[in-house]
Amino acid sequence: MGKHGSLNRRFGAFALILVVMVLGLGIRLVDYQVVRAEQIREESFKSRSITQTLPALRGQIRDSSGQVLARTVFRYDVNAAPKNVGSIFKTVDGVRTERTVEQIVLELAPLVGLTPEELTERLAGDSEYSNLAKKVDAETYNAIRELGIPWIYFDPFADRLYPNGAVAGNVLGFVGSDGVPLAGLERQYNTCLAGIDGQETFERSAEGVRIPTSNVITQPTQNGGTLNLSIDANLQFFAQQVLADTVNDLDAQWASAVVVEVETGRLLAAAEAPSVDPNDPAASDSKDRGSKIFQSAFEPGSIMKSLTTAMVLDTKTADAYDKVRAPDYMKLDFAGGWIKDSFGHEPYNLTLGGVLRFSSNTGMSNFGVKIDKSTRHNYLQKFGFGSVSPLRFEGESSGILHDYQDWDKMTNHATTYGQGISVTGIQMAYAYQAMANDGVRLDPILVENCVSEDGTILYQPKQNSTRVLSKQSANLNINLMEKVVEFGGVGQNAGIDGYRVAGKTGTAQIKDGAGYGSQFAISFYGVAPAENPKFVVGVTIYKAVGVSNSLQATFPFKAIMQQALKSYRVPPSTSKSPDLPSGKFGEVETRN
Amino acid sequence: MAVYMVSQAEVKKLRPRMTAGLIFVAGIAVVLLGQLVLNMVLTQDAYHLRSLKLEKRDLNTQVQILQEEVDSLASPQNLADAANRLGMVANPASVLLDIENDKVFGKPKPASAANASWLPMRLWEPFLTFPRQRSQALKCLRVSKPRNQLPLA
Repeated sequence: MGKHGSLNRRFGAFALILVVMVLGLGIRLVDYQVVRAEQIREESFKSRSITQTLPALRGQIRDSSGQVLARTVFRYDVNAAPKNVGSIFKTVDGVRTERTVEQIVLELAPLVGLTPEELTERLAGDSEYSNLAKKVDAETYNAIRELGIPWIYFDPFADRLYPNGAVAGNVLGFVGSDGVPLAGLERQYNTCLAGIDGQETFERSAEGVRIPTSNVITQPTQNGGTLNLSIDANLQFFAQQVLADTVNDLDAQWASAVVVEVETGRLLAAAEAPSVDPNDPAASDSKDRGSKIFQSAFEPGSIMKSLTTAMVLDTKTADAYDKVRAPDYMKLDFAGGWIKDSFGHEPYNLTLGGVLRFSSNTGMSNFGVKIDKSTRHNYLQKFGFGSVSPLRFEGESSGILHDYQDWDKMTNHATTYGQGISVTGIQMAYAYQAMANDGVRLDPILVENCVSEDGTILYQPKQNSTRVLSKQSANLNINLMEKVVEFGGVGQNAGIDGYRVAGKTGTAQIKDGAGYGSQFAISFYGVAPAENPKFVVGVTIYKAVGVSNSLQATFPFKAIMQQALKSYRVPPSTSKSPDLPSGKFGEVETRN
Repeated sequence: MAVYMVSQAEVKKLRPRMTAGLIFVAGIAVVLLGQLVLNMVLTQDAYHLRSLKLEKRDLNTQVQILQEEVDSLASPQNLADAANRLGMVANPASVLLDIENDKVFGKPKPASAANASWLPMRLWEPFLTFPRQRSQALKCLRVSKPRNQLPLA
């Protein structure tokens, strides 16, 4: 039994040690698997996993026909690791070939836009980073990659491309190199265009290969929406081209042209010269990077007269046959008050049509002041003056419309022919739109909508309408404006073969300090076809050197209106304007 | 715990059977092999996925290159310039045919430099900024022409 007892004792000791060891392992196991499990799992996951931002692509901006005006493209910075620069060896069919650094430099230099010497310099040293070129396009990127240089690497980034260059650049605005919108619609509608960056986590093996099915999208990417504009890129281009020529020929400071679709209130073109190219805003003078149509207010001068005649008709102060005295110079009933016409003439007796056709300040004033100040002020407000348009374009000016109680005696007269008030191009265009649209002013539309990738409409403007004039007085007023183009000395140049055109010239002296200087803002605003207006075209040329009448504004007006009528296939007029008096003494003038 | 003394006969009875052992070993081998194959397939797929992704990236780049080219070729200034270089003149006369009523609206006139509404269609510098490295057609565009000699209409 003694033998058995010793065996049992030894076995007992062995079992005890075994139990202690198993217990130790057990504790360790529980520690790893239960107590510190979370922490260890996290550490291990961290070492395998990569979190990546999935950048949202900025949406496109398109014109009314879907032509892309702004799109996001990828550009690449080309970098090298000078430390690794060396010959490239390649074995093809058992033959080992060597491309030396010199050979590679000769191939690479033209692609990165450097001379071989400059490139060699940048590849010298033993740093890990040397930039060779910034912002190369995809074609160059592919060409460089085809060279198969192992020590070249690329940093891709999203960039903004405006494929039509300066076309509509003034309203599109532009985006800075960091992707932040800096001006125009790009900035105003950034919320819709920018989208939301996504985030993704995935695991990868030691060799850097992504482990399949390991990716988890923690934040889905939402690409930016597409901003659809009412702008017609072709018409916009045509208008910009015409204005660029005009500014060049007349040595003007700037010129602008607005084309409005009368029945819808859509802005088809908002052209300016000079105009910024959003691909390279730095190339433009800082004052030319915005949109003067919205941001610059000017005294309109005589283009305001057709609005005053509309008020006269609408308030039934006078009809198309009533006449007023219109001398070329007229003293007013207060000290130092006088009004002069732009040309010397015998005293006329003018109807409203005659006032427009001769652009008589004295006649206009005599008609206008018959309406009391507050009524006229009210009309001006309804025409849209004195407040920014509902487009709320960035930096938009409201112009200046003083309260009628603050109008002094001179201003009371001057506002009838467009002085003592300042307006923007967009305001004036929509005042004309109201007259052309049977007296109803529509809110301007520049952005039709913003649509997300899946077709959801993210933004759509609400369009309000304001009745400014009765249909009858609006239509009659357009007929009176036709006389400007039929018989007016300058206005005739705005006539378009085959169409009835109604419009008004404007020559406004630009205020130079307290008084008026010798420089002018000349304009022509008009509508066509007069019997059923489709378009308003408004042209303003600012500070043309040595130009003191509005003749030069009629040529761009005619060209742009003609282009609009043609490209939208508006059939030529089949009727003639009604016979309304517009002569020097209130007679009906005869057409030749 | 206790230790039992057993007879030879009982030992023989308790010895594990050869077949069972073989099945066990073969089972493990099959499982390991299966795991290996599965692993290989998965890894292969990962590499395949990666190569497809690279291909997708290349194709996207290709699409972008073509898209940029199409955009530029379709831009109004490029079309205007191309038309000019072909000697085309815009005809300002609007003429429309009403087929139903057999009527012609407007007076047809041949297009000529004399009646164009706006002639000097020289392209202005701001219109000529295209990204570098473009098709030949666009490279031609960059050559600035002298101011058109034709008079204003």
